[in-house]
Amino acid sequence: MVLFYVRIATHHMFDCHATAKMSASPIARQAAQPQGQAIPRRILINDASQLPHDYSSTPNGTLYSTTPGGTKIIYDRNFLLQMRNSPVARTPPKNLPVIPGVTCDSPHKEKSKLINGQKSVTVQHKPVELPTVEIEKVEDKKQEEPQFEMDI
Amino acid sequence: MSNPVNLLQTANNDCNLSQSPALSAHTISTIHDQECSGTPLNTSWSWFLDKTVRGVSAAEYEANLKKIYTFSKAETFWSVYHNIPSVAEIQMRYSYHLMREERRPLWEEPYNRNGGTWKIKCFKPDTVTVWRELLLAAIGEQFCDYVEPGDDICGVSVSVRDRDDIVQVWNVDSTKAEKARIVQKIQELCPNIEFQAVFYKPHQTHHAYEGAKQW
Repeated sequence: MVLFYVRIATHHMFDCHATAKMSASPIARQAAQPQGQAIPRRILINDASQLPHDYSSTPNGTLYSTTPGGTKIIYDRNFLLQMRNSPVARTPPKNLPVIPGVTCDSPHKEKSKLINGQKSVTVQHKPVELPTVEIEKVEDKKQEEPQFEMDI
Repeated sequence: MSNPVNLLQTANNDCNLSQSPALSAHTISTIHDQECSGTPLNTSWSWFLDKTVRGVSAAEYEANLKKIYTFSKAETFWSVYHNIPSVAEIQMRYSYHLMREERRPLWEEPYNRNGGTWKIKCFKPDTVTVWRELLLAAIGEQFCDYVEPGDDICGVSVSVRDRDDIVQVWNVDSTKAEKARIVQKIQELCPNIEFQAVFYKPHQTHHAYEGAKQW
């Protein structure tokens, strides 16, 4: 069986590994070890447009269905961390459902329901049940909620 | 931003506002990012919240489980992360789960039935850091080199408890857990953090496991 996946590093380098694993039958084992066929190990991505448009393919045209074990897009921690403060990463996602105490108009106001009471939180009562609250939230797009800075 | 308008219309049409916050099934099903731009993750991931209550059936547990969001882009992951309470702020006995695609954190589901979790106790001051590292490792597919071929990490969870918190990493094949190096990976992700109890538990060995799902 061939395990084939794609690795994306912080510098947008695709790193393809092909690892031959022991297979059950000699025929399968032979098939899993292509001879004389170079497997591209690294594919340089210069622009986001070179990324595949769907999850069934990887750069260089590898099809999910032809790579047992599947293909994987791998991001390292720092690559993911560096995008955490972009405006879109701070904006509430579209259609975030209203869950009182979890996703509310303002985490400051409503989150207290989930807090242990160990912290002092200003509670401003405001109905959160109506969908219109969700609309207001999306529209006013409050950014930079200071309490979320604590974990950074 | 056309979606907010759509949401309002859908909500008005499908449910009586006096009975809110119920949203229609259609609206719930659209709770995921539909952005074309952004950094694609290997798969989508769903964020859940639940409250642990001892002695409830799987059906009761399922009824209490709330899906917060499904995302498939790295940017949307952060936008969810930044706009829900930090794990340091959620109440005792609540848990967050981040599950691959739309899997639900239920042992009895067909896709979970043969799996299990690594359970790790961590000191409360470390929980926020450990949880964030687990989230990033999961969506970045950092665990894939640390499981056996044919196995896969399908979720990560954090549970806020009275004394020490518990983080969990879900895999799909408990027979392959012994050779996996997930604990090693977690320690690499959190080099300066000391973990207490660490063990692996197949879902089916839980006392409350209800066998193949009948409903």
